[in-house]
Amino acid sequence: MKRILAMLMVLVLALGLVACGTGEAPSEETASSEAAASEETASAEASAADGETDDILIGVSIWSSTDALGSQCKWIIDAAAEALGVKTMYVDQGHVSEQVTASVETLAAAGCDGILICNSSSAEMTSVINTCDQYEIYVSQFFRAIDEEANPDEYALACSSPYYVGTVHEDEVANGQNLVRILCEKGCRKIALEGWSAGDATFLLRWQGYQEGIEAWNAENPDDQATLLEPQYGGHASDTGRSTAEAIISANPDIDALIVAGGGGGCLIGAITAIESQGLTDQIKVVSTDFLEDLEERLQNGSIAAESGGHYADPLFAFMMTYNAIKGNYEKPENSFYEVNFPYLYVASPEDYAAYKKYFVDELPYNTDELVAMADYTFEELAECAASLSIEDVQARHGG
Amino acid sequence: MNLSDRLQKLKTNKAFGRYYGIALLIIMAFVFWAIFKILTPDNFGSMDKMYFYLQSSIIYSVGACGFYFIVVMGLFDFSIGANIVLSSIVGVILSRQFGYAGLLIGCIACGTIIGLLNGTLYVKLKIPSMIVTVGLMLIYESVASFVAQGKEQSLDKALQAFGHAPGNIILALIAFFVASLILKYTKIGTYCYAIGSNEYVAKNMGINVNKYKLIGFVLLHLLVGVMAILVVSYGTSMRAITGMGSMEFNFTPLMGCFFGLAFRKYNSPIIAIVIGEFIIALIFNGFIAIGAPTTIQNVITGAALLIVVALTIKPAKGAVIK
Repeated sequence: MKRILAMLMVLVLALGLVACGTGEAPSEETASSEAAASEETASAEASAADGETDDILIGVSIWSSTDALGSQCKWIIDAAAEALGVKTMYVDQGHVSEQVTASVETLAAAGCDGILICNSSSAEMTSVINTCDQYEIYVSQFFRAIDEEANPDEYALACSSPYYVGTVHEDEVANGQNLVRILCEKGCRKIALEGWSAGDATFLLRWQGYQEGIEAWNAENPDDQATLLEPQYGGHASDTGRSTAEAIISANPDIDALIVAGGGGGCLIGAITAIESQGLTDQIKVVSTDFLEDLEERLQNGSIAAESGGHYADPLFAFMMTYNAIKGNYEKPENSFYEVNFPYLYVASPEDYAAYKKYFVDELPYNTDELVAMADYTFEELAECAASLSIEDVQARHGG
Repeated sequence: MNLSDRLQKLKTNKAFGRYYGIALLIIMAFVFWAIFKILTPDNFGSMDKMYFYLQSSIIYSVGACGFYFIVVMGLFDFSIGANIVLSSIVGVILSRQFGYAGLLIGCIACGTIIGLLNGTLYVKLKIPSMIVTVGLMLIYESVASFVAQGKEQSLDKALQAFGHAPGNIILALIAFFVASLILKYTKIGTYCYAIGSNEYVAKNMGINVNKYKLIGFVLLHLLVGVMAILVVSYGTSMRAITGMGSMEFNFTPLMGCFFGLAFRKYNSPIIAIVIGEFIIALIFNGFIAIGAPTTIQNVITGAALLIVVALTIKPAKGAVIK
C-alpha cells in the first residue's frame, strides 16, 4: 500500500513538472520549491522589434506576489515584461532570510538573466550579490537600499560587483517624518507604534523617520510636545495585529494616534478592528504605509486618517535598469551603482483617494507605449521619470 | 510533617485532591498577574483589561485542545497554521453565499477534511508525522493561495459575531466541553492515552492503533477548524501565506498544549490548556504594559514556559527523555 501511494505521488510530481516545463501560450503554473512557491509567467508575443528580448528571463524575489502591495508590483512588472517581450518568474520568500538567499539561487538555477529583489535585511545582500556574480546575472533591488554607514561591507561589495546594477527605493525616513507631521497637524500628541517584524530594514528606516518627525515637531513647538511610544510588533496576520493593538491600547488608554508601520495589510486591518471594536475610532487616528484595497471606504468612515503608498511602480524602474543592463545599454558606474529615489504618494482624504484611484488603481500609471519608450531612456531620464511620478504627472500624460 | 508530605496529602485528599492541579494553575496565573500589577498598577490587570487578555487567549486554547489529542500519542503536526489559513479563507468565501452557515460549515468541514488527509497519509505512508505534515503544510498553503486568488479575504461586518463576546466565548466553551468529554468519557480519550503510554502494549491489547491515530488527527484539525472561525472573526480578514509562513500560527497553541501535557496527571488537561494560554496572554500584555522590548518578551515567555513545565513534569526514575 505504501509503495503504491509513493508511486502515485511520484506520478503526480512528474506530471506537475512536465506541465510546468511545456506550453507555448502564455500560462501560469505553480511549482513547489524548498524555499517557497514560485510562479512563472510567459509573456505574450513580443511587441518589441528586437528578437533577442524573447530570450530574456527576469526573476523577481519578493516577500509575496499575492498580498495587497505584492500583487500590484506583479501587475506593473508583468505589464512591462509583456510590453517588451520579456519573460518573468516569481519566488515568494516571505522576507525570511534563508528563503531570500535561497530564492536567488533558485532563480539563478532557473536560468534568469536578471533578478529584481526585495530583500528583508541588508545582510542578505552579501550572499545575493555573490550568487549573482557567480552566475553572471544582473541584480537590482526595489523598495530597499544598502546603507553605506550601517552596512559598509555590503555597500562595498555592491559597488565593486559588476552585476549589482543598483537600487530603486523610497526615502523611508522622509516617509516617517511626513506621517508624523500629518498626525501632529491633526492634533495627535501621544502616538503609539506597531511594527510587523523587529529588525526589518524598512521598518528601522521608517522608525527613524517617525522619531525625527517627533523631534522636529517638538523643536518647532516647545509648548506643545508630542511623544512616540516604543514599537510593539504585530506580525503580518490580522489576528496578531489586533491582539497587539489591543495590548497597546490597554497599556496606554490615552493614546490619540497609532502608526501601523506596514507589513502587508493584515496587521493594519487587525489594528483597525481593535480600535473599532472598542469604539475608539474618533479618539485614535491611524496612519500607515501601503494602501489597502478598501482605503476609500476607510477614509470616509474615519478608520484611517492618512496613508502613504502608491509606490508599487518602484519595481518597474528596477526592471528597466536590469533590462537595460542585460541589453548592454547601461554601463554600471565604476565603484558605484545606480540609485533611484522614488516618491511616496500621500492620501489623507476621500478626494485624494479618488484621484489616486483613477490613475493608479483603475489603470497603470504607464501605458504600453510609455513602457516601450521607457526602455530606451538613459539612466538620467529614467531617474527623472521616477522622481516626477505623481497623480498630477499621470493626469498630464493621460488626460482627464 | 514536612512540606513535601503535606503537599502529597493534599494531592490525595478525597475532597481537594482532584482540584490540586487547577489550584496550582490559578495560583500561577495570579502570581504572574501580581508581578505585572505591582510593576505597572495603572495600565495592567484591571477587570476590563482582563477581558481582552482572555479573548485572545481562548482562540489559541481551542487549537491547543486539538493539538493535545495527537501530542499525547507522541505525534506532531506542522500543518496547523496552514489549516487555519485555508479553512479561514474557505469559510469567508462560503460566508458570502451562505452567511454564518457558510462560515461555520466551511471552516469546520475544511479542517476535518485536512485532518482526515493528514491522518490517512500518516497511517498509510508509515513515515514520521513531522515529515508528512511539513509536506502537507506546503500543499495546503499553495491551495489556500489558489483559492484566495491573491486577495485578502475579509469577513463581512455582519458576520463577525464570533470575534467578540459572547459569540467567541460560547463557541470556545463548546469546543472545550467537547474535547473534555471525548478525553474523559469516551474510548477515544482512553485509547489516546494508552497509545501514548505504550503503543506496543496498546496494540497487543487489541487497540486498533492506526484507527485511533487517524481519529486523533481528525479531532485535531476539526478543532483547528473551529479555531479558524475564531481567528478570522477576531482579525476580520485572512491572507494566503506561502513559504512556510503559516508556521507562525503553530507555536502559541503548541505552548498551551505543553501546559495540558504538564498537568494531565491531575486529570485536568483542558483546563490547564485554557489557564496556560491565559498566562501566556498575561505575560504578553504585561510586557507591553511595562514597555519592554519584544526581544525581552519572547525570552521571558520562553523561560516561563520552561520553568512551568520543568517544575510540573516529574519523569519516572531512569526514564529516557526524548
